[in-house]
Amino acid sequence: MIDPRDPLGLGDLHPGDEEEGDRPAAVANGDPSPASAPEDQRASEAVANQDVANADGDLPTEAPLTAGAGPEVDPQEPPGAEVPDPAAPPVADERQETPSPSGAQTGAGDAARPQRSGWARLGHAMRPRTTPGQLMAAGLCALLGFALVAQVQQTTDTQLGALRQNDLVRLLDETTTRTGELEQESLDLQRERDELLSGSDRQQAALDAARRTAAMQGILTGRLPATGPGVRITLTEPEGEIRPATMLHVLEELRNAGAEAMELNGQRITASSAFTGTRGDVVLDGSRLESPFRWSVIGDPDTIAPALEIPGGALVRVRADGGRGTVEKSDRVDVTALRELPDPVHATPVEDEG
Amino acid sequence: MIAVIGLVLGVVAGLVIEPTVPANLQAYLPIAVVAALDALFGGLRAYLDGIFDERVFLTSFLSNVVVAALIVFLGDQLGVGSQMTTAVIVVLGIRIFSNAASIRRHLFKA
Repeated sequence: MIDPRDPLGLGDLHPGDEEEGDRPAAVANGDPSPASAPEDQRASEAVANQDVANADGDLPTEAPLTAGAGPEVDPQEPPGAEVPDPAAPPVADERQETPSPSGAQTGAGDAARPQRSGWARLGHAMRPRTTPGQLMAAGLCALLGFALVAQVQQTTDTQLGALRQNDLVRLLDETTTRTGELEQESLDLQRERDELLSGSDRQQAALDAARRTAAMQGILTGRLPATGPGVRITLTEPEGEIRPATMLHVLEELRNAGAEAMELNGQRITASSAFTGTRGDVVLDGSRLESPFRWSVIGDPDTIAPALEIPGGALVRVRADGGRGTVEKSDRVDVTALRELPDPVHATPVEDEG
Repeated sequence: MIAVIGLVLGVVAGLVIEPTVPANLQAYLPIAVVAALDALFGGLRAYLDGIFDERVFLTSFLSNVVVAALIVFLGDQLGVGSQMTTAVIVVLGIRIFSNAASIRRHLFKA
């Protein structure tokens, strides 16, 4: 028999299982006794309930049979008609006389609550009695407790072991996929790290080369101050005046001897420097030079000093002009004068084709 | 009273014996336990309603367990075992809650 109150078949419902007014349609449709005779049904229900109440302790063997038939016949009264139905005075009277449980069944708001409260009923249930029903319930409860503990321990012991095969396969798939993703990510990050490292290496090397080039160019073009070993040359004019050509000769001699940075009376001498003017009125790059002429030259002192003194050399020319020159080697010569160079207007660097 | 003693005895027995659940039953035992809990609450509520009946209790207890396990078994065969487990648990949970609410009304009048 299909229970109308349990169309899903999820389990047998107890007679009082449903909430009041829970499924009126199902009850009304499937009720074996039509709703047109509510009073008869109500009366029979009350009787059955009373039987159950009596059977709890007094009639151990016979009452279950009687009460067992009760829920089949009258599982629920039509819920909507229960409380507001004034058409059943005999039932209400009967309820008042005997502590029928149906009063409690209707809900907490019912005025006709039985004298035996829930706690008293619970206490009644707690009284140790030995009836077959109690023993049976005890057995079922023992089974439940056993299974409960077994399941709890099972869940605590093994977590993967309790899974189904499908779940395990899915778990494995997810884990594998996740592992693949993580490995790929690891590879990407490693490659990026390598790129960054080599990139910074290349950048550093280029930066160093650029710095060295800038230093060399700066010294050669006179944009940077320089220091190092070299010679200091002092030219005086005690008996005559030095010609600009003689000064140029000295400069050429210094360049031939490998001078790297030169300064004359506070003026930097570079590749584009020019001596102009006339005898006694030497002009260097547009500014007039006053005697004595003091050269500060950075280069190998042991090469420059002999080069100036060679026969027919620079100092010989100076003496021929009536001047005098002294050369002083030094371990540290500072060339501090700077020269501003205009940016090239027409010339641009050739693109590096490497 | 005896039912409570039986429950305690069952728990103690489970703790002492420490049973291992057979692999075939591992998917169904939790469902069965929940179904049995539902039957237990239903029985308690029926008792408080005064309409407790041992026969109904026995049949509902066993049929709840068996039907719940069968549903899940069927779901496993159909490939929707985990979803079916969830569905059964939800339904039984709703029933347990409603029964508990009824018991609460009986005991606390609220």
